[in-house]
Amino acid sequence: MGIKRNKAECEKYQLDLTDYVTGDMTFLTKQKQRKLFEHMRKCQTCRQDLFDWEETFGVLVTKEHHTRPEVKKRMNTLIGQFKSAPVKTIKGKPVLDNEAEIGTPAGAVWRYLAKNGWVKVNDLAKNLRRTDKIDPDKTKFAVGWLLRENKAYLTKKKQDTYVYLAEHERRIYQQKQM
Amino acid sequence: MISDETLIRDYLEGDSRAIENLIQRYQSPLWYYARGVSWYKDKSFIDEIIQLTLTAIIKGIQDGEFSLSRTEPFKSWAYQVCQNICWNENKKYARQPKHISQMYPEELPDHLTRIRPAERDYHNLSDELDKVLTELSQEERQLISLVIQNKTYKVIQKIQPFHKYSLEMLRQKVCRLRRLMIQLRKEARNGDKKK
Repeated sequence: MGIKRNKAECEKYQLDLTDYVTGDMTFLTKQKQRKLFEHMRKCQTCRQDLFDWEETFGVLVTKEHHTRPEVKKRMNTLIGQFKSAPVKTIKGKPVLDNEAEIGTPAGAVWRYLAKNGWVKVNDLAKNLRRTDKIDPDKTKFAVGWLLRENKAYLTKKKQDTYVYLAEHERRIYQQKQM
Repeated sequence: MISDETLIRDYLEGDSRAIENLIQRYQSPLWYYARGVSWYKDKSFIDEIIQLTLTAIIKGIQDGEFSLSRTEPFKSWAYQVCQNICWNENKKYARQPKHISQMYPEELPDHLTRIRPAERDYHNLSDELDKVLTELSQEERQLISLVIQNKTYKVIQKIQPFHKYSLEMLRQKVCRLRRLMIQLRKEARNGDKKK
């Protein structure tokens, strides 16, 4: 696309090129813009001139903009908001989102218990790992969650601990199935 | 200079000043980049983009979307976030009805645009231009200052000492100033290379 520069030809477009970047439309009509673009399609030197000027002008505008008091004030307010927002971490590690980490597995546990009745806790963890790809630890946290909310109960038979869904929760499941 | 990753680690461990340093490091480069990528050069529009970008970046750090274990450096990720927001805001703004006074010069056709790696090197460009500005006369510095404040030729003509020039002469001066600044930039770069 680059053709050897015809300096006389390029001179005709220098003023328009300058104005195009600054955005001053005093002299730069739409027709002149189209002619400028058409010229730059053929002239690599003018394309480079345009890019250099855009780069230069862009940096100058950015510098000037960030010296303005209202811009500094706005940025300080934004920084203040970020600083005051609590960082969800404990000793550098992000705090887990309870809803995502336990709430979702709790739903899977609830459905499993509703379908299967009494289940050994260890079997529950193994089965949900196989079917729903839920980590066994998260299954146990989820069981704790349901126990806390009185949606499930624990019982012991010989050496094994069983979990089962509360009656009112099973009725909810049955109603949903209708 | 403290690395971006160190600042992020400090922030996650509870040092709120670290995030302040990180934002101050990136606010101007991201603004410059957003201005280059955006279809609209309106300053308040770019400010809005940067506000959304910084909020998204901080949220991404907090939520673990940007993790220190990634191979991609923070800088690349931050510019990508900015670019995505620019494109979304461009589309939203394009759909709004606008008064003729808000219409900007036509956008360059696609074949005339290119990705400019230097756009992401804001601090070096800024230092280069600081040197260039010291080489200009006081009148030239005043003129370029008025142009970057979006003052048109008609407005500049009303300001001392430019009232002695016609509009056409002012236009010529700005064009010559443009060429001079680019020439000085090249000389500054060549001077640095020789060193």
